[in-house]
Amino acid sequence: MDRTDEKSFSCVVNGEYTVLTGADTTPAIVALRAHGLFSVRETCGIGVCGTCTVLLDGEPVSACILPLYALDGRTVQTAEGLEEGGELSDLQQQFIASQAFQCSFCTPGFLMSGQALLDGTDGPLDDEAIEDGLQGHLCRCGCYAAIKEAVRECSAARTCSRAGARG
Amino acid sequence: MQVLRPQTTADTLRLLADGGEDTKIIAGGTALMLMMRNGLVMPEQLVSLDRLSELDRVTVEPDAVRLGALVSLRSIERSAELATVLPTLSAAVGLVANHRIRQRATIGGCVSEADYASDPPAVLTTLGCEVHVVGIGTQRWIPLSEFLVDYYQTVLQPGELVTEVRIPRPSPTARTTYLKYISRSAEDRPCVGVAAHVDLDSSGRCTDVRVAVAGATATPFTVVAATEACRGAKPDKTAWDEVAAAYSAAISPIGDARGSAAYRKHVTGELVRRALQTASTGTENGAFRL
Repeated sequence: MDRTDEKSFSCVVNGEYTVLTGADTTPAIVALRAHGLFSVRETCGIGVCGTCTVLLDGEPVSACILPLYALDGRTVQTAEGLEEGGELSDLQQQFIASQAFQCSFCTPGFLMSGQALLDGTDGPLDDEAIEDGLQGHLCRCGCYAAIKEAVRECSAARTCSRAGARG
Repeated sequence: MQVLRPQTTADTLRLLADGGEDTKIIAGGTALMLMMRNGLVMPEQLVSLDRLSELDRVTVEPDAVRLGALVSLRSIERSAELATVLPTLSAAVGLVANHRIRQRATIGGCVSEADYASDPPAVLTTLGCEVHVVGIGTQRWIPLSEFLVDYYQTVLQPGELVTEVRIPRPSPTARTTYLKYISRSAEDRPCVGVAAHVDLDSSGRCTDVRVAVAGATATPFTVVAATEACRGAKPDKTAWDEVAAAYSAAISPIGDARGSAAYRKHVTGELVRRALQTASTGTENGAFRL
């Protein structure tokens, strides 16, 4: 990359004003990881697998094909932003209770889509709604049932606000 | 390489005119970012539409729906009004890729990329969609069927921009459907998709039958002579078998990772029959994954 292409982009990442640097079309995942946000993970690099899912203004998107300039002035959330003061969010805790992972590489992506689904709905979610919300996340460890259970349990309890939003 | 982010359509057209052939337009970036990351295109300059809020509008008029080029597939899918007015388009858009892609992908980008392996263009073709193309001092409406010319090719000239698409409201008596056959994962592109539109007169005879095939040819595939021949016919198996046979005979499908050409040719006939059957007997308009 030509150094003259480097620019600064201001955005709010996990609640904090942040300046990310890179070229306009640097994939957002590259800048976020350079910022130390290693929950954003690249697997397929073509927007299919879901491991790089972040929330852009609250909506799940694939950071691997998201150009960096698209973050300018926007709000970004990653799995690092789910916990607060060292306390895991309810959805994260439910993932542990439901044993919703094996290798855990896909987990941050599932958490982000799961949280967005919970944030955008009320009451207990049925299987169809959960499938819809977790669509496009490929987990090769075979935890689909447990992941769905975690989201279902959380939706039934409906205490799954993010740690930061609880008080 | 730099990205310019104009705030008006007029400024966008000026930048496109100044930029020449190595300037590309980027909206959601779901197609272009993939191509750039894989070294398939290396534009010198991009003009982003992300600040053109004037193009992010849905307008439901008495006789048509107008979708600004920047309207995302996700917002089409989520609109309760569009689910009522254009139920099959709304449902078919919901079958595209995954929701992260649909959140970024735009309707203008969908038609302008002219990807053959895409669901919406076939549905839009059967609905009589027109594309609004503007340049400096020029503007024209082009039927989507003429706008798309080949694999990833449209009639767009350098310096021109798609600002919106217009979809006539289907006749109140028309039934529409889209069948998406996938041969690999649930979020895959169509191996073959078939969009059908069937309208009947008060005596139950066909007045307006339209069928377009997605994913198998360079652009949505139609055999207008076969569907025109249905006019006045009873909407029954005999009529649909004839249309299906005509489509299967006439199509020269691509062979790729989603299916061989011979396989797609066979599937086309079967799906055309089923789509027409569904549209003429079903109680709900919609899109279905097979």
